[in-house]
This record gives sequence, C-alpha cells and structure tokens, in this order.
Amino acid sequence: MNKMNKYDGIHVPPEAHQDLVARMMTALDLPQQGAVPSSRSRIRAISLWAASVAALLAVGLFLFSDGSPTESEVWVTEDLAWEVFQAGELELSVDEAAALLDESELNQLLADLTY
Amino acid sequence: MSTHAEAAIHEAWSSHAYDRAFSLMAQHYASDFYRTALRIVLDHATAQDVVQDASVKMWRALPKFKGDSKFSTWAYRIVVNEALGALRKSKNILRSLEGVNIGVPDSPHFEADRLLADLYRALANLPERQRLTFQLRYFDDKPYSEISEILGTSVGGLKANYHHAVERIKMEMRELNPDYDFESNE
Repeated sequence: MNKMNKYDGIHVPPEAHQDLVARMMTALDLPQQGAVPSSRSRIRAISLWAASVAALLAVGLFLFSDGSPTESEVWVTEDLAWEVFQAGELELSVDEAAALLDESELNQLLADLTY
Repeated sequence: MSTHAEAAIHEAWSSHAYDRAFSLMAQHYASDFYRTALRIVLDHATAQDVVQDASVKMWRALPKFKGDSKFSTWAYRIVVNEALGALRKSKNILRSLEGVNIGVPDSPHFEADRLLADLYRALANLPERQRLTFQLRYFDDKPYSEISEILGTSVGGLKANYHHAVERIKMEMRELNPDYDFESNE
C-alpha cells in the first residue's frame, strides 16, 4: 500500500473535539448499571439476610423446646419471625446477620428461602 | 491514547470514581471515537450520534468493566458495534445514494486527495470484516491482538482478512489509478 495515504483524511479541530466531549458527557446524567445497588435491591438483600436469621431463631427455639407448647411459652414460627421482621420489630444489620451464621449455614438458608 | 492517560483512567476506575474515569476517557478519546465511527457510517451526523450513543453504553457499563483489557480496546469495541448497528439501520439509505462519492466519508472534518478518496471507494467494496480489519490496522496502527478483542475475531482470521483486503484494494486502486506507481510506494 501507499504509505503516504496512511492518514485517513479525518481531522477533528479542537472546537469539534470539545463538542464531541460535551456530547459524551451527557451520558453522565443517566444511571449506571451495577455501580451502586438500588435501595430496593439493598433492602431485598438485607431482608433475605434478616429472614434467614429469623428462620434460624425459629428453628432453634423449636429444637430446644421440650415438647408441646404450654401457655407460658411463645412459639416462633418461620412465618411469625418473618412477620416480626417485616413489621420492623426485628432490626439486624448485615454484619450482625453475618456474625450469627457461618457461610455454609447462610448459603443453605438463603437457598431454601429463595427456592 | 497515551499510556499515561490509560493509567489515569484506570486509576480513577479502580477507585470507583467512574465520573472522573469517564470524563478522562471522553477528553482523550472523543475524536478517535468519531473517526472510527465516521469511517464506518460515512456520515458526519450519524457518526456524532454513534459517539453519543456509544458513550451512554460505556457510562452504563463502566462499573462492570472487568479491567482485563485496555480501556481503549473496550471502548473501541463499543463504538464499532454501535457504528455497525447504525450502519445496518441506514444501509437502505446509503445504498440508494449514487455517484462517485459512494464510500467516501461525508463530513466537514474529512479532506482527501484523489488517491485517498479512491482508497475509501475501494474499501467500500470490501466485505465488512475485511474493511474493519483494514481500517483498524492500517489507519489506526492497532496491533492484531487488540483488533482481535475489538472485533471478536481470531488473530489468524484477522491476518487473513487484512491480507485479502490489501490484495483487493491494490487491484482496485490500480484500476482506478492506472498511471500511479503503487509498487514504488509500498
């Protein structure tokens, strides 16, 4: 090939370059994908963690109880734990939730709950 | 794109300063994106739109960038894909155009002598992959490894594409310019 022609003939002057830059920068007005989780997805994630802990507490209470319920005992079912959490009576941070479960337990519970 | 600029963009991206990374990318790349887009779509306004639309995709995807290639490579891939999409949409319009300027960019920023204009006309007759490979290799001096990432084609395939493109362009250029001594300028 004729190397004299290697230049593609397109020359963008500085003012046109700045115009293109400005066009590109308009993209910053739009939301990004995956940059920061939306509040909704964060709430959903935290909810799952808290629901897992609530479910674990319910299972624990069931296992360590000595049989049929008496009038003085309070039975915590998984549904009840979830309701308590949803009602805002149970508040757990992600770190608190993580501290209560090891990874395999958490994964198992999450898998059960999200199935 | 200088290594220094690439490093600065990467540094901003690594610290999740995506707006800064994007701003640096725009400052350093805007004209190159336009040139790449214009060579594909051949129309000034469409090339501008391609740059803008590709920018939106870049901005949205920036947090998902894996850092396993250069920003320029990643960005070029988006621009090329966007330009090809725009070209396909406008192909019926382009095909309906007639005249000697077919295949030659229509832009206030394009200026060519007769030989360069003939090169563009010859390029217009190439299959898409050969044309893109030739443009990125010949005009932009991009290494095959990078073109491979941009176009998603193996290096071997690219070398074959480039070889075929050069041979065909030579043939067409000789036909268009029988008096020009191409061999002495190779």
